[in-house]
Amino acid sequence: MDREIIRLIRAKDESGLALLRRKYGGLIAYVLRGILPDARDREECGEDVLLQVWNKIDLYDEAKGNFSPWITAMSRNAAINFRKRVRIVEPITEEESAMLTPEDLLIRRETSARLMEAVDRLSPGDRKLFYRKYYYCQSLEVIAAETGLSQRAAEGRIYRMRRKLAGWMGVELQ
Amino acid sequence: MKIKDDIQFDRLVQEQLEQCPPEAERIEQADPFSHPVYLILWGLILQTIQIGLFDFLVVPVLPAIGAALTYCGARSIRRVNPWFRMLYVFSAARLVVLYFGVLSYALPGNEALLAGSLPLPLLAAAILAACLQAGMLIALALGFRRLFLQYGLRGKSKLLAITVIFLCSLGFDFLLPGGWPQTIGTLVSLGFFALLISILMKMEEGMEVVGYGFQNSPVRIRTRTLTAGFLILLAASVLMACVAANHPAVREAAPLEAPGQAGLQAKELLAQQGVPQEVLLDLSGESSLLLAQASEVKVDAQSVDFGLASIKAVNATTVVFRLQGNQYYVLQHFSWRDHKPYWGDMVAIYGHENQALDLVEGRLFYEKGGQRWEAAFPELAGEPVKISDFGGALNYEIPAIIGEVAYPFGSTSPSGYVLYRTDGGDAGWLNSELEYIIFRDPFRLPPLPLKHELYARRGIAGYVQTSYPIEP
Repeated sequence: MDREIIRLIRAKDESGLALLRRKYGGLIAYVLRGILPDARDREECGEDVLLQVWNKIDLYDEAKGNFSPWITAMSRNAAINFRKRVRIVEPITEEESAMLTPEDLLIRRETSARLMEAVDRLSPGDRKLFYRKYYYCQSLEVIAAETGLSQRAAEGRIYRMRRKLAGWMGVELQ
Repeated sequence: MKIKDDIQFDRLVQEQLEQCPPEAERIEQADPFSHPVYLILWGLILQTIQIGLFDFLVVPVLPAIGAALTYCGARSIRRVNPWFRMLYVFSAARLVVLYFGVLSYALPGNEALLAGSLPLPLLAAAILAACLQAGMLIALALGFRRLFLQYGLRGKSKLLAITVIFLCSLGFDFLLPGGWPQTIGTLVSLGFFALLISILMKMEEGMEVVGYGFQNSPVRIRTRTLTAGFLILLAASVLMACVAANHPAVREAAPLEAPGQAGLQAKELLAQQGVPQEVLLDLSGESSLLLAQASEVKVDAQSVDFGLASIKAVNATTVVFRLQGNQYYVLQHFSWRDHKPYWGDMVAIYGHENQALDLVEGRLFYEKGGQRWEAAFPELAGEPVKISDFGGALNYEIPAIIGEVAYPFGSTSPSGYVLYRTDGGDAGWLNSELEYIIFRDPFRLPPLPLKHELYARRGIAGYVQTSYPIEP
């Protein structure tokens, strides 16, 4: 089904969009749910995601991985941008951005690299928790319910995972 | 780098992921359906597997894990639709039935198993379990069917058809005559089961469409804790049932009283005739008076041979008393060196085929709290025992006295004796064969009545034999 969707969208056939909505509508809504609490925002952002897939389908490389993670990443990034756009979270202003020195940017990149290295060292279970919490921005209730953990157990596991990450990243948590 | 608190750290991580999002292929996919569906499927598979190769203790482990996993999976998706709610109810009932089924197996009253039939509680549990398992499969299939139909995926509903065919083939299997037709039937059922599982496993693509709408129910106890807790509860219940069923309580226990003057004199007389002091210490005053009249006494002290170098635990002393009028009394005394007889050991005393054994008395003795106690010999009775071999060529009954031996926890210096009268029959010799069966732990499933236990041969048996020529 994925090949058909990609082929149709690349050919700019709107039936591909309908297929995409049918197969991945649930996934897109699921990813957006954690980041955008408002249903109207989710609906609007969901349309944005479909439009982005339509426009950026040529950037998708089958050799790099499945279509589903690509849609997930696209949805998540769209939701983050949407959130910034509607100012749910204060975005970095142009002045702030202009204030970032090359040194700041370098530090940011280094921190990011250290973070991803630390994530790779996590156990598969902890890594799943990491992505649920920080990437999909899911609430503790959702994480607990979907992983078969009690909220207390989920909280404990996230706490331990956070400590591990901080340690591996060289961050001193006070 | 120093960070003030967890909230600030979370913000840092989230900012990093926003500014430099990882590549799509690095991202761990999250969804609300994989975890519960995985638990349900593996739970159903494990419930179907029975390990018959090992002892019964191992047999219910996989179904118990399976039942717990199915329950955990079903509780997460119970609010998705009414069929999944039914699956949840069935899985909870399956846990309860499995618990009581296993427990009833560990409790007394399962002698019917020896005759190859199922006792009523076990039969009821087995039928209920089968119905619930069928109900769970159907509820799961109907739940998925409803879900797929909601999203217009009609093709996926074939799961229901396969489920029904599998269950029908299973039912048909029971109706087939034994031998190869049933074997073929079983293979066909297994084939359908494999097909069913493979369809369930391949539902991933369908789940990508319908599964993200799941609203998982919150849980109070996490899956691992619940599964482990259920196994521990089951094991603890079986353990308690085994201990209760296989540790017979001592009855009529009383401090051992010193014999009266007459009893002491009788014991002195017996000592002069060679009866060991260890035996005389335990022998009741009344029996001492009776046996002191013996015209002939023969003592035979041996260690019971268990055929294992590691067990040299029981000393057995056989004393044959010949009284006037060719009456013979046999005193079978036994004491322990290092064995702790807490778990319903057995004593069986056999005569020969034509030799009547008439039980006079039996007592058990032990020390506890700095005092020597005497107690009744549980289940001690004279009754014939069937002797047979596998081929059926040997099949006859011999007279016997059987009894159960158990002492209170923490007791020391355990001993006991059985006194019986015999005429020796017309064979010209008197036979006294002592069989002692040791149980090192209480795990005997199912617990059996004494005589059945003798036939079941689940303990470590040791023997001593004494023959004594008599005048016919």
